[in-house]
Amino acid sequence: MEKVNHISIGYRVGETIKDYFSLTKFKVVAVMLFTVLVGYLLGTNGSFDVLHMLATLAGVAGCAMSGAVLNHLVDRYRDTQMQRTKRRAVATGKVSVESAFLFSMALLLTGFSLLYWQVNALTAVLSVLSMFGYGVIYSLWLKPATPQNITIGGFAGAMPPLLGYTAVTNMVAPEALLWVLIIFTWTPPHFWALAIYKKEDYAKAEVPMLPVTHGVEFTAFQAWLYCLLLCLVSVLPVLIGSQGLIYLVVATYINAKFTWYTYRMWCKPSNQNARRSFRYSIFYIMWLFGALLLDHYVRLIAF
Amino acid sequence: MRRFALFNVFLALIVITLGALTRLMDAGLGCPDWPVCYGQLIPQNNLAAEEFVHWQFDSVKAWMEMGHRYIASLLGLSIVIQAILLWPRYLGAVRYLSLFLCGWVVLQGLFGMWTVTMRLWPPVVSAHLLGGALTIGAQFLIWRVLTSNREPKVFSVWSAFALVVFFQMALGAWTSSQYAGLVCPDFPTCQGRWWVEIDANILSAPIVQGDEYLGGLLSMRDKMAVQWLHRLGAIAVVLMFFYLAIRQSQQRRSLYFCLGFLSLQILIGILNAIWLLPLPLALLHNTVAMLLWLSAINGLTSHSQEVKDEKPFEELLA
Repeated sequence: MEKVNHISIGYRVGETIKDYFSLTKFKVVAVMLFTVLVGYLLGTNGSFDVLHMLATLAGVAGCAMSGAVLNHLVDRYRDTQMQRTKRRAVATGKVSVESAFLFSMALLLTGFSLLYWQVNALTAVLSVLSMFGYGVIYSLWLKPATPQNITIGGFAGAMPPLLGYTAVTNMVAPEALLWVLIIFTWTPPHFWALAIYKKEDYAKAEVPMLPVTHGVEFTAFQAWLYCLLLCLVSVLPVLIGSQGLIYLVVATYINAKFTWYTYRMWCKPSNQNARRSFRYSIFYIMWLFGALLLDHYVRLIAF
Repeated sequence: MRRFALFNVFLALIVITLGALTRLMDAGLGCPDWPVCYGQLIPQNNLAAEEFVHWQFDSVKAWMEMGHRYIASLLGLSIVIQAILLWPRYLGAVRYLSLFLCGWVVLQGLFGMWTVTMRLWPPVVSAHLLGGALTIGAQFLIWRVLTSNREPKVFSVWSAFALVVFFQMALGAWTSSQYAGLVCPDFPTCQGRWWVEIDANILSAPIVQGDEYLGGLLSMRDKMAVQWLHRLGAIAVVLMFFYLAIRQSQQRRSLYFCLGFLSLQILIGILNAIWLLPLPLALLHNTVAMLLWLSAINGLTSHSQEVKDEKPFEELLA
């Protein structure tokens, strides 16, 4: 009897940890951390302190996770309406509102103090601001208010590469702002592709996403226009001379491919095309930052 | 129609090989005027040749150059006929490709003219070489689409591989047009060095008035850097090939073609460096480059199963 009880307690503890972990949206945070890492490495000239880098990554991860938990908290009623999110831990009541809030604040405090003591005040403040932008301004205010929610809210999600850069240099530099601009421009086509094939869900939860309020075709058209903008924005680093030919080649290729996917989605806005476009948008951002990194190191080594 | 397209592919290959031969025998200025040769359609020593004080009339070189021009114009004519025949019979990519080729072949003729009138200025020579690669690539793609009945997939790993190969060809063209093929007689080192500093200088090609560029203008150091960059490019192509082989492992046949030509090309490249560019090998380096390029393009039409969309990355920001 005791033994059975013991196993079930262990099991319950494991489940609870899993629930709390699922609140942090770790997969999204991992993509963000990759861009932080790229920003960090591009700020250095070859040599860097590993502990300092880990502190930066952990601190930014803390702030980003805290934002994700807040988002779950704010969205708990809407989440129950949507097929995609109804199994989230706060929405089902597996984690209570109070404990989720405490968890979020604990993460935020850890992240902020780690950044403040180990890295620098600028990075710490910017991290908290972007977390605030995502967890509060976007989730609480923009999301139910306007179809342009993700366009404006994308600004908070675009910060990570800047955070990595400021962690090294302790200043906001134009090339880092360009990376922010790239992610900012990339967010609408990325997100609207998802919104197109999740349209019914959003309509049921009464979230005014663009496909719900203005129709699928208009959304796909807008996504395509943003893609064209992205084609211009993503070559700006080359034009100001901070990146070279390798970046230009990779960027041109993936720009063409992403624009092609979005164009196809506009011609025929089916769920399948939208899903493909969404999938590619994630590869796009990974490849783009991979190219930034590759270009940086090839130039460091070869020239 | 298929046979005609195939005929055009072979004709283009002949034109390219002849062009490479012309270049390698330094016969690019065998006729210093354009479109005629020393004022005549059939090259022969005449009074007009006396006026060209910089050049001596050389029968072999003049015939080489004029042969290249005549066969290239035959290809141009053939491409236009192909477009006229294709247009009412087929829909889709081949239409646009054949139309594109008509325009491109004219541009390529212009580049050929500038090669002569600008006296082998390296950027124009490189553009002429790459333009030839694009011509044969588009022509080959027409043939493959006609024979396979599949629309080419513009964006796949194959096209990324083709892009990398194309850039390596550009570096090769630059190596050739800057006469940097002979500067490193050892492999893998270059004049005993394991690393050559590369600076932005190597892309410079100042315009020199009244003289020709035969022999190249860069300093020895920069020439070494040009060849070094071409060797580094080869590494990039090999890496890209591995990536391609992992991603498209089910398309065995197309991959074997690429693998064969790629290893042959690297072998020839190494031999070219250490044996100081013997004419047959240098010519072969060009031709195999074209075959590798074509086998990369071939991948665009190779058959692929529609990948079932796996579970998408759902857990995202919203």
